[in-house]
Order: sequence, then C-alpha cells, then structure tokens
Amino acid sequence: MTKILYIANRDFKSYFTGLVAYVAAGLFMMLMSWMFFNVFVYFANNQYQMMAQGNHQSFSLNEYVFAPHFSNVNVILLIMIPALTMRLFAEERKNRTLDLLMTSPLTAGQIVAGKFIAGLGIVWTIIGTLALYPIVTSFFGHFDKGPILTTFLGLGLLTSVYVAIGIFASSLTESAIIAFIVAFVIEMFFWVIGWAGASMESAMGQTVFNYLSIVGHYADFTKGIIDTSGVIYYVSMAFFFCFLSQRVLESARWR
Amino acid sequence: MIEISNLTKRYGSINAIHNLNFSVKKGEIIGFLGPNGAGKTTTMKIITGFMAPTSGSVKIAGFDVFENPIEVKKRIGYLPETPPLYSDMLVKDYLRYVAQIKGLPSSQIEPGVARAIEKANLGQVQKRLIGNLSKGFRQRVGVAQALVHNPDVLILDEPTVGLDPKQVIEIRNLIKELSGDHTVVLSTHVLPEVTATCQRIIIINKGEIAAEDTFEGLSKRMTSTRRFYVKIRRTGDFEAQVKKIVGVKGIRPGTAGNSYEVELDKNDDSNEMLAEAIVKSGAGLMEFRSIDVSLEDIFLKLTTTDVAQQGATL
Repeated sequence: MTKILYIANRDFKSYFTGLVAYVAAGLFMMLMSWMFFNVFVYFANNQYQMMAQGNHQSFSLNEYVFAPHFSNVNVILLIMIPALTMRLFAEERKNRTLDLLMTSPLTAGQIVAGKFIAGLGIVWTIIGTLALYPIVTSFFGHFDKGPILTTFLGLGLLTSVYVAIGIFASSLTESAIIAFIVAFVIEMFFWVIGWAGASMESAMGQTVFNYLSIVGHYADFTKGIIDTSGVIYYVSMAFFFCFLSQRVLESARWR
Repeated sequence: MIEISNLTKRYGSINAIHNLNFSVKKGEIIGFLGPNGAGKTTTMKIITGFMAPTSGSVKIAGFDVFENPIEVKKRIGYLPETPPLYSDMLVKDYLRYVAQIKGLPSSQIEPGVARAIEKANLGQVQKRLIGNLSKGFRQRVGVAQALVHNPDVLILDEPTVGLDPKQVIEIRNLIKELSGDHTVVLSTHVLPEVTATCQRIIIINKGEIAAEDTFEGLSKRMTSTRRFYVKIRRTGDFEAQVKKIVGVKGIRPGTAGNSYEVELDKNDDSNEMLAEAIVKSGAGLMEFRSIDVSLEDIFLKLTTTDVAQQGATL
C-alpha cells in the first residue's frame, strides 16, 4: 500500500513541476466561469421576465443553473482528462523509466493503482474548484444543497472512469498523443452508446444501451438522485479499465 | 548467487539467446562480453525479471525470478542501457523515490540515499534537476539508483558508456569496491573494462556462450604458440634463415618495414635459439619482443565467423 502511495505521490507532484496542472486548471476555470456566467444570465433574464409579467413564482437555481452548468462540465472533462492522463504511462515508456518500475519489487497492480490515484488526485483537485460556484451563489440566493452534493459524488465517480480509461490508453503506447486520441475515442464510444439506445426498437436493447451510457447515469446525479446502478456502473467501469491496464503492463514481460 | 539454466529467448523466429547456462558466486564480478546484438541486454533483462524467457530458469539467491519476482527484485539493482531517470526530479528526490519503491524500510531510506550519493560521487549535484545534468552525471545517477537499496546483486548494462576517461576510472573503481559484498554482472563491449574490473569473463556470441573463464585462463587456452615481433636492419635472406630454426612455426612480414612476426612453439628453448640465431645471422637486430595475446584477439577469434577468422590469425 505504501508503495502505491509513493508512486501516486511522485506522479501527482510531477504535474506541478511542469506547467501541465496550471494550464489545465487555468483553462478549466476560465471555461467554467464563462459557462456559469452564461447560464446564470439566462436564468436571471427569465426570472426577470416572469416577474415583469406579474408571476411571482421563482425558478429553481438547482434546475436552471446548476444542473445545466454541471452537465457542461462533462464535455470539458471528456477532453481535459485524457490530456492529463496521457503521459502517465506513455512518458514512462518513452523515457525508459518504466524499466525502473518493472524491475522494482512492485506488482503491475500496484503500479496501475499508484497511477490511478495520481490521475484522480489531479482531476479531483481541478474539479474541486467547481465548489466555488455554489458557495458564492449561496451568499445571494437559496437553493437545495442536496443535489449539489450528489452532483459532486457523480462527478467523482464519472472522473474515476475517465481517468481509468486514460490510464489504459496510456499503457498501450509510448506516444502521449496516441494515448490522448485512444482515450478520447473510448470515452466518446461510451458517450454515444446512449444515442444508440434511443433509436433501438426493443425495450431490452434500450435498457442495455442506456445502462452502458456514461452520460445517462451522471444526469441522475445532477438531479439529486443517487442511483445504485449508476454507482455500480462507474465503479465497475473504473475497475475494468484499471484491470486492462494491469494486464497490458503484465504482458509487456512476454513481448 | 545467480544460477541460470537452459535459458532461451526467442523473438518470433529469431533466437536471441539459446540455452545459456552459467552461475555466479556471491561476491564475484563477472563481465559479460559480446558484439552488438549478441544477447547481452536480453539476458540481463531476463535476470532482472523485466522480461520472461521462452524457456529455462533464473534463480537469484535461491528464488526463481518467475515464481517469486518480488523477492528477487528486492535483491537486484539494475542499471539499464538507458538510465531510467525522471528529468523533472532533483537527484536526491529521485534517489529517495527509488529507495521507497525498492521497498527499503523508511528508517533506512535517508542513509541509503546518502550512501549512494557518496559512492557515485554525486555530492555536488544532489540538489540539481536531473534534466539539467550532463550525460556523465546522469550515468552516475543511474549507477547510484542501482545501489540505493544496497542490493545483493548488481546488474549493470554498459555502466561506463558516455563517461569521460576520469569518470570511467572512478566507476570501475567503484565496481571493484563493490565486489565482496555485492555480486556484480556487468556487460560491455569495451574490452579493457573487463580486464580492469572483472574476475571472470563470459563471452557471448549469437546468443550462446562462446567462452567462460578468467582472463588469464582464456588467454592461456587460446594460444598454443607464442609470437614475437622482430625488427632488423638488413633483410637479406632473413626469412629463409629463420625458418630453418627448430621450433619456428612460421614467419610473416610485419606492419613496419624490415619487421617480421615470428610464430614459435611454446617453450623457452626456442625463444633462446631464435634470439641467438638472429644475432648470429648479422642482420642487425633492432627490436625483439613478444606479442601478447590481447583480449581483442580472443574476442575476435571467438566471435567472428570462419571467413573473418582467417584474417584475424592468432
């Protein structure tokens, strides 16, 4: 266990010795703020119009601000996470430092776990900045805190799948760019699989495709629903891709 | 300490190594010698557990590399051809990290790092970024990395590549110092390195062991005759005269003008007779010395094909 943390610690810190973490976090916050601003202005305009018409029923901040805002996050994560994870193994292969890990008394599982924790660490650090929006909004308006918390739980689970996919893609190659593309394509596949569900004729097919869709489950979380099938889906997907990476790493010995 | 039996590794249809058998005793330094592509690196990768063999087994301190990889890896320090360095880390942080993942107990990490820094003579650069170091220093960080957990066995793949002559001597001395406590296997194609550091030499060619002995043993085994370099002032019928002397196996013109290489039977009488005959012949002896068999000669003889062998007579 301690060895896993040693690896995680080194990889996590190396995000900060270069520019990677700063660039990713900076761009992410810029985009998110811009999106939040737009969603909020849209909400405020609607509210103003309603009041001008003499309707004093107010819109829910949860429904009209936070739910769309946090859905937008997903799109950005789809690109940001592969960019953050692409180097985890590819770089080690390219610089031959993987030789060090592979000849140290470590199991392939420990190496993957260390990388997974490091990747998750940096991603969670960056999405942690999202907490600013509800915190700041809470000074001015009233909204339900529950769905915000479930959204963060959902984000945590969702990102763990993206990180696992990113690590798997990175374990396949020594080129970070290829790792990025592969991770992005796998993520997209599990994204668009939900669309296939919509066009399915059999109810059975619809259920299967909807279940496999990475976005569908997340939508539940942003609405304040903790669906156990969603939790199981995310945990098992993350585990599955970590397991694949472990197999890839192990197989390097036989090539 | 290291026992290798019937080790074979195939890449597709190519036999990288074929049926290797050898063992290394505790505290020994052995040199692994061979031309490029002979299978040195492959063998080392298998010993360190980085790569699996097609068949055969490797045992380190009684543990099989494939049944007990963790135990084996704890006992091995490995310097690959390209030192595995993180260019974004400080030298000291890097060594600490290596000590951690090698499973050194936390109380021994700092002493281990300090010892490795001292042994590899890295004191002046320990606070510097690895990416900014020169090639020589990087190589030394690589050596330090292999030493940091004080392993029983050190596997060094061409440890002196890229170093300046002074550093080469330092690293060789370091390797010699390590013998006794540590078992060292080092590969190289720099021949003097082997004579300078190793107690035993294994010459490998095309994936098979071509010879395995001490340097003295090898040179003894390789030669049934002795060669002398003779330089004279006047040639005349010198060649014909020398050929008549008992014990002379052959004579051929040497590289410089008026010089010859004379091949003799291996006994002291013929030496004396040759010297006497040359002086008496009145050819005007300028130079007379024996030509030592060098490791290069042995190496070439063992590793070159038959066609090339005729050119490289011993």
